[in-house]
Amino acid sequence: MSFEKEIAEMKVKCKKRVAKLIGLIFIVNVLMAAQLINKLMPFANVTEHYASMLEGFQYGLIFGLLIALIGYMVYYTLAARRDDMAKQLYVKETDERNIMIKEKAGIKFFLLNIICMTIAAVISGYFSHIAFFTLVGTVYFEMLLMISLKFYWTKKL
Amino acid sequence: MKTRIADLRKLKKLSQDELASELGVTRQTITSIECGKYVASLQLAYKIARYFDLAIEDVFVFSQEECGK
Repeated sequence: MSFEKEIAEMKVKCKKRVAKLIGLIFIVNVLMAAQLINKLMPFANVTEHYASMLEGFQYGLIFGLLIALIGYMVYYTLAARRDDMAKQLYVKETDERNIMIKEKAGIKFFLLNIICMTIAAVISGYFSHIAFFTLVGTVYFEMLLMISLKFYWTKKL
Repeated sequence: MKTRIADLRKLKKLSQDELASELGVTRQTITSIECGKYVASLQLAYKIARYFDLAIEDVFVFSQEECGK
């Protein structure tokens, strides 16, 4: 069976994803520059020790996000150019067992929850360090749960 | 569900990787189907049967208990 049509469609998808990632990288860079130069918002109700910790967390998060986005951009750029990588990506994304594992483990739900909670943690850091640590703890717990469920269903199916 | 994929594959001297590549699925999916851990969808079952030039019931062995599940 040949997958020429599917590979061509995947390459187009990859190009669109690269364009979206470039936009996201630009937004993250603007956010980082604003935070570095102007300090978007001062931390309220927290001691200097916690303020420095929260700031460190924010920079770490932004740098981590940037590295991940650049990594994905490089991966999709290569996939948009190379047939073997495009086919590999197509198989990975359309494989019915992989889709079932993701559905059973609720990966989409967990990812959405993790993203929302991380944003909430960053915002709550400006007001209360207790809320910040609680949310970050919950994010780590959810990540662990998501990985465990994915592992469980990968073994089971 | 029991299948004859492993036997048919060996007859054609194909590895799991090669069959997976021909069908557009991952090697792990073929392994799981062969082990009976994962039941292929009708679409994939049809693709597999067509690849071996056989009918679906010649590749996949349905038992009465499985139909009642």
